[in-house]
Amino acid sequence: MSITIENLSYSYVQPSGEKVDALKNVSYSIEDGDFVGIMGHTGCGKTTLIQLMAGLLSPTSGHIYLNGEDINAKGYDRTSLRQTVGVVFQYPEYQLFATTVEKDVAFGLKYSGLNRQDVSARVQWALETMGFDFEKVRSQSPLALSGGEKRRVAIAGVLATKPKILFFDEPIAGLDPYCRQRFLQFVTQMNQSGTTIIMVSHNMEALGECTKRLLVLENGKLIDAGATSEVFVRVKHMSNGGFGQTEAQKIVELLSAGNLQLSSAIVTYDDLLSALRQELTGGGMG
Amino acid sequence: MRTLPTGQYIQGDSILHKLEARVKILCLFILSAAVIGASSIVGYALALGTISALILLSRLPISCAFASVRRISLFLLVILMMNALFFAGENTMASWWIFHISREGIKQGFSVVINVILILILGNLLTMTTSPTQVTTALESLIKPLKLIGVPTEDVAMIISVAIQFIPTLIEETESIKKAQIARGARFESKRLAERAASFIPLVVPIFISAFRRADELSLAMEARGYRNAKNRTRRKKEPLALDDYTALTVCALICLLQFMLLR
Amino acid sequence: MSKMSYVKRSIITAVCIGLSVVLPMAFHSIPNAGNIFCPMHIPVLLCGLICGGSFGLLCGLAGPLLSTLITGMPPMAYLPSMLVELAVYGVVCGLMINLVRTKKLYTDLYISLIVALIAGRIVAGAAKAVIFSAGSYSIAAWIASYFVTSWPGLVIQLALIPAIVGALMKAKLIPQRYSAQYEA
Repeated sequence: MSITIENLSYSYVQPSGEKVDALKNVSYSIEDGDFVGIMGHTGCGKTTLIQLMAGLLSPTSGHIYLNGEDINAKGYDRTSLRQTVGVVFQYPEYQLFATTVEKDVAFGLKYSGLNRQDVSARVQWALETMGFDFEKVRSQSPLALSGGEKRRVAIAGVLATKPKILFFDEPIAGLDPYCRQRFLQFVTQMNQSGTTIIMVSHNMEALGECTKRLLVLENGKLIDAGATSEVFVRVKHMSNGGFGQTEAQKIVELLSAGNLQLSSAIVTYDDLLSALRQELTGGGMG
Repeated sequence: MRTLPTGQYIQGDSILHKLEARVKILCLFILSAAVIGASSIVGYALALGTISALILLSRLPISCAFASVRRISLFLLVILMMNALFFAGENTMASWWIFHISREGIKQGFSVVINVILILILGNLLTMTTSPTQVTTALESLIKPLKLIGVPTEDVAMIISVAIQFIPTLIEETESIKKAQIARGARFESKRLAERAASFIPLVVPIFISAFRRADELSLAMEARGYRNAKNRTRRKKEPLALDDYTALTVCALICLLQFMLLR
Repeated sequence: MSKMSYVKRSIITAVCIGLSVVLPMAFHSIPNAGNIFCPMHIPVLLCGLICGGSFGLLCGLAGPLLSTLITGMPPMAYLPSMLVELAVYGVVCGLMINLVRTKKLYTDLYISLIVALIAGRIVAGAAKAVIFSAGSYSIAAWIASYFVTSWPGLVIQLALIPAIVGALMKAKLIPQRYSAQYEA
């Protein structure tokens, strides 16, 4: 499932009369099976972009094509859009409402046309993918679960429709390191099994580890796009700065100050380790 | 971060804008009494004249004042009809079954409708020239006398100002939850009542849960800082009334007096 | 439900007042939701049930007032009768929930709600007849506006409010009413 955005702009008028340009003329193409990260400072338009791509907002101008079809064209099937596209908002656990976990996860399948048994099977699959013991958790109240469990139930609710594209808005905000790691593993697996993933994050490590491509937004404009490691390097030199670096990049910087030059293309710990190994086993470009 | 909608408040610097909010509220009540007290053509002319003068003084476009009148035009029509058709007075002109058309009925219908319109315009003039914050601050001081009958007015004032501060956050969260559920395929249309009711649960339950969670956090924070009630809070110094304020009050009181003298 | 501290009940009331302003805005964009639904009633009823009659009264008065000031809805012409109606809802809910103790949460809620909803309509209708639209209001009109046309709204409120209370208890945001555990 590919997405192409063309000259996308979005502005709105605040109640005080002020006009806000949330997005200005953004164009980009995301291929089927890609894993794209979106980064930028708070207020740069990341959430607006996701909502537009997921068909939750109508653009002020520009087009969004899902597999070649304009999603804002008249007559576009919105019901199937909801099933094909999954959005996990920030703090998704706030959307839980049902009396049992099973009912909450099944909510998205209400208009899917599946029969009861299939719905049940999907709910079970979604919960098990998120690491739950289905029989144990199915009749518990989602509101009485712990924070991490709530988040996993909420994500299961989105997974249940087996979307071909998944959007994540700051998915690891507020998670402890263990949950964060499990989440990143899960999302990488989803991508490997064919789901196109678009993830907004502040966390450089997470973006460096999982994403193949990055979009950088600032003040509603797309200021950089490309392969993750390349973008990371360029972003470091941007005058506005403040994008941070991955831990591995920081170590490279420290080492170069100590006269050990390593490649500037190093982004993740794995890159760093292989570069160091090469250096330590004597010679070779690193 | 969205800013608070200002409702009907339109910024400006006319005399009406500059008057103290408490004075404006009092004048609203006084003039409303004057309007209700109008009972003859002269009386209505006086009321109409006063209100036209106020609209001019506010330097606001006339269409604004009438916008909300237009919105309730159906309601006004119903009142007119109910009086014209059901009121049995002395000069009944026609009668059939439960319908009675009489001079009194028609007159009454018109008078009620005109009263409502005039008072509505007065109210609009207030909200259009006074920001919501100013109005609530004014209301806070106006309800102070209730302390005498045991109403904890400082707590009431605190609760209302917390409520106002919460509103932008609540708006954001509500929008966010609405989008999240729509993204999951929620639908709010349905012909059958039971289904309709059920379709609002995914929207309403999370909204209340997140609102109550914030309430929980805030009240814990307040209690942790030793807050128990609003009695001993430090307060902002009150500004004294200006000459314009006293003039306004006097003029309104005079108009009301005139109206009641005309009644005799 | 009355085991919560004064501060906590105050802030919950503040949040309910805020929601009286925000909920109608949220439902405005959903077709056909606002007019039969009366979204402003829900926070007031909840406030009365959860915090008690005096807080419910405050919510019923402050909610519509702030809403008119901030969003212009309801229009000022409807404000007086709405204030009376909602104030009664808040007070009666609070009274009833303290009086009725059937040992079953949902029964308590339904009884309190129904009594409050009827009482509010009676008092507001009386106020309209006597004060606000004197002379033009008849019993027929009262029954028509408060019961016939808005009865879907009544049903929706009766369906939603217990669901919300149940969810709040499950999320441990308000104390359990009876110490035994409930199935929601």
